[in-house]
Amino acid sequence: MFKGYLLFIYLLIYLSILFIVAYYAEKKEKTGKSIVSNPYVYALSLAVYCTSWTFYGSVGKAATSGLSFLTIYLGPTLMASLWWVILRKIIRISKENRITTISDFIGSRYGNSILLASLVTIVAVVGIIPYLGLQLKAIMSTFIILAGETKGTAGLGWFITLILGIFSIIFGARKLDSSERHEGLIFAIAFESIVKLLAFLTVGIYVTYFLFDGFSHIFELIRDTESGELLYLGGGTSISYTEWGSLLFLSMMAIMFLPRQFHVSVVENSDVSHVKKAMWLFPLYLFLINIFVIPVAFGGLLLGGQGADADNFVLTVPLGQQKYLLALFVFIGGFSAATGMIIVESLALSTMVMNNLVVPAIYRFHHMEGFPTIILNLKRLIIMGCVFMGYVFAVSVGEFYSLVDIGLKSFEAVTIFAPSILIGIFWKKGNKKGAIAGILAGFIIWFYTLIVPAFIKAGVLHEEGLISYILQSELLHPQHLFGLRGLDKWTHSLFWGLFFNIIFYVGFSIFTRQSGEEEGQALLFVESYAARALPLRGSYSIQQIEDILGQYIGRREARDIVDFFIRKNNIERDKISQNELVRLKHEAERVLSGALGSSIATIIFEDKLTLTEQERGELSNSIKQMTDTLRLSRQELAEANRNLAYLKEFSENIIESAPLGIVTIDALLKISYWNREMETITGIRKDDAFNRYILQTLNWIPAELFMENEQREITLQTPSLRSYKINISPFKDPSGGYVVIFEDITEKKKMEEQLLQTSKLASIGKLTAGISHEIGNPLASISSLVQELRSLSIDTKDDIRFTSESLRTIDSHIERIVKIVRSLGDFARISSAEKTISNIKEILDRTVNLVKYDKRFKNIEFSTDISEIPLFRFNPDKIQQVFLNLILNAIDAMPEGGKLNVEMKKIGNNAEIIFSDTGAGIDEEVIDRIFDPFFTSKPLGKGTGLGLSICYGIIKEHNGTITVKSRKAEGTTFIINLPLESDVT
Amino acid sequence: MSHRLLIIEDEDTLCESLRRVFQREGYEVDIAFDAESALELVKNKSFDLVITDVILPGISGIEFIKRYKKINPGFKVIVMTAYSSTVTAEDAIDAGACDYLIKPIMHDEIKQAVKKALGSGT
Repeated sequence: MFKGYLLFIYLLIYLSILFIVAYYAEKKEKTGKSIVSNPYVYALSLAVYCTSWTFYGSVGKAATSGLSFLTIYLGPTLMASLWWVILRKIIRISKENRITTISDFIGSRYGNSILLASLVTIVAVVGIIPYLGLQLKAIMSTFIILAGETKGTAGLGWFITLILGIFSIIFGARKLDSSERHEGLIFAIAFESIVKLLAFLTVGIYVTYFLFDGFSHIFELIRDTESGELLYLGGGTSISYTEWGSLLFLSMMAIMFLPRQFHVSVVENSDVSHVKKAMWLFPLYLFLINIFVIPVAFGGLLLGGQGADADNFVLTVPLGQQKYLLALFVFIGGFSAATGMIIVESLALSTMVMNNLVVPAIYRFHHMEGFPTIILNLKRLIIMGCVFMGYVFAVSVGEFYSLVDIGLKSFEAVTIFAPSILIGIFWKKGNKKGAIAGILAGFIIWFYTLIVPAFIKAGVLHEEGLISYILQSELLHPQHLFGLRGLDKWTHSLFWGLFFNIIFYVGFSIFTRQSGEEEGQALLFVESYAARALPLRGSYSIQQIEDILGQYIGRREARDIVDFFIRKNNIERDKISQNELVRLKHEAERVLSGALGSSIATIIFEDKLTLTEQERGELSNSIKQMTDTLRLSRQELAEANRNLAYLKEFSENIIESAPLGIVTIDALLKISYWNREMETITGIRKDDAFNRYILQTLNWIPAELFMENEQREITLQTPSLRSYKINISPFKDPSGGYVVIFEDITEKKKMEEQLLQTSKLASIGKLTAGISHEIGNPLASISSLVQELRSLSIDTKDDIRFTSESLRTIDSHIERIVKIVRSLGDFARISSAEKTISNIKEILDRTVNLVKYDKRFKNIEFSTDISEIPLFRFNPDKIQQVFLNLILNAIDAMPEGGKLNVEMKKIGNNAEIIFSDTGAGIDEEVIDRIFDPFFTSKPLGKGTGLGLSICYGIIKEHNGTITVKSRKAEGTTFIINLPLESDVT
Repeated sequence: MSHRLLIIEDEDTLCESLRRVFQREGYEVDIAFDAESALELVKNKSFDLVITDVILPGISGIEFIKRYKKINPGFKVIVMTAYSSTVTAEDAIDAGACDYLIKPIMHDEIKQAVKKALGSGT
């Protein structure tokens, strides 16, 4: 056994070696020959993942649960295969955005959110501190085992913690480092990884090949004991497949998102290409360090060790064989595993706390004297705080738990970050609110399902009041949340945590909006591979940059950095180019990010920013663009004006040359426009018309036309007997006024009358044959009688009687002829344009009298159905023409005879006249066109195509309507509707 | 034996005047005011000659000729028409009429035509 103080000296020596190693690496770095920047050191530094949990805990786990310990290493191995996609992207993003911690990463992804970064920091601290404490606990317990005494362990704990705190400070915060990377630290970690691997391999080989006869021997022996079941998986064994799955997943997340892993794999990465080699080197390391776990565990059991003490088999087995030197080596190995973790983790945590919690709070005091010193000391204090918090945990709660248990809680804690990071680097829509909600939800579930039960078990929380209530509740039981049973606690917590985390993250992201900055950052992260121009900002002078930097990291350091930069790039201080200045500024920002976090570093430089040359260029460009646009708009405006002028001229031309009199008048009825045609119509010149009252100028216009505010149209005859159609439409403009359009319809009216006349003659033409027959018949009778009379000598009484009878007969036949000739004459005479109060039934009778001479009418069963219709004002000649046309059409449609019925009745204030025939009907295709002029269905030469169009015009002139209904082979019905006007013009 | 004539004419004044004219000439004359009653007559009585108007109420003169032809294959018909249309006259000739006259009827003309029609054939 070892004396306590001797052990302590060994440890100090080991730490000193570590320091020398680190110092050597840093020195090499300064000379530009880095021994750290290679994939082997990178892969070894990743092995900081293997803590005392691996070193001692794996054996403990293997001795109690068989192969389940492997999940913790299989997960990272699986994850390593994805590194080329995920880790490489994260590294690239982090380098570009000068990200130094995982909280920076998340905060930065979601719009440089300090709030989010603080939240991540708090979760990380709460989740990781116990893990840190675990390492201290491991060191202390192994120390005690090796020293063989428990006396004064409290003091020992304190002391070891203090030493490790100081060491962490030396490695991580010796100064406010100008670099994000700590090559010395990384080299020391790599060194420790080798030590712990060698130590474990040594004890493994010793147990397997010296104490036993190789693997198979141990397995054979253990199969015969009660621990034989440890060789198997699943089924009835102590670990279920779901737990396997959960542990695998948790360790996959842990290798990425544990703050120390993020630090070594991302922040300390010197070259992205190292990832490629590390992808197989690191799993190889894991394989090697695990290869002897089972033999050692089983060996320990076979040598009579108890499962409960299995965590220490690595140490107790050599001790039991009196191999003290080997035991010491193992102890140093375990110490390496623990210190590596403590140093890197406390550094990562303290950077997070510093950058995300402390700096934002004290940033405003940056003008204070000695601000850099304050920051540096604060950081040291925080590192120490982290380590000591771990210690407090280790001695208070940690006692009750195994290494594995506490480690997995930390794994669960960092898994909370997984959705925000993994989804966030591939999905642009993921936003700040989603990330905050997801992380908060995950954290609450984690705390409730894992930490609360732990507290209850440790007696920190007592089973009374609220606690006993939730333990009895179906829904709220921390280990059977929402009634979910049948899962181990890791799977249970992981399930609910991820469930709410992802739901909230994705849900909030979809249903809330991103701010502009968030959008920009999201783009930067998701499309990190897209090429883009560097945002070249920095019109600072060298001195300014140095001053700003000096305010935060100290004047001398700032000067060193600037000098170093100048030396490295072979620049002369006063001949620095703009481009180099920008790069210097970037370097300064990078340095500040390392010291203060990227969000703050950005703020610092943005704050002091005036316009850079680049920005001036951009500004002047955008101004040029604006003036270009303006010039274009001016051109467009000028063109629009020209178009407008042209349009005005165009419409004025139209108005001037229109064959219509166009007058505009204002609200006072004064003339404001008078076109050329108006001059022709009235003989009043434009100049004479302007500004005169229209009612005085044109005294034949009735004043009431301008009383109403809607469009009207009337037909007027001037004193010079010309007819005008006058259209008056008021201006929509609120200032009022009217447009009055005069159309000379004198000629049109004449033509209409001529047309009517022509149409009449056409109908008479149709009737000629019938009429000549009608006249011919009595004429033939008269002729025959006259011939008889002439041949008589009128001697006898009979002759005298015959003569007088014949004369009477002749007279009656002449009367018949006279009647026909009269009705024909009535119809054929030039019709008047006048509407008179007339009897519509009489007009129908007159028409029928005329038509009946058509021989075809004899074959038609004509009937009427006429009810009383008062006299009203219409043009009898024109309406007779309509009736005649309709009846003649009906006769045409019934060459083989048929029925024609005319119905007249009064409906409301209208007369309705319906002509229904049983003729051939009208084709559906042409029914819409039958009122069109020149449309005819009759063979060429048989119809003019004007009949119905004239009817339509006449009825319309009477403000009536004429419509048609027809069915092929069934007949046609024309319906005329005439308003019963009595005295309206 | 005197010839028998049938006159079909809807204008009763003319019809009766022509009857008188041909009775004075020594013919035996029957009259009908429409083609339907005339067709009844010709079924029971044979006529040497029929004088008919073309335009009649109901069946026309042309239609009458066509039916009459079936009853009496050795028929003789003279057509009268006020319709100064040659189309009607041609229709009549096509149907089998031996002559046609245009109204107003000149007595000398119609007497000539009757004589001519009766003289030819038989």
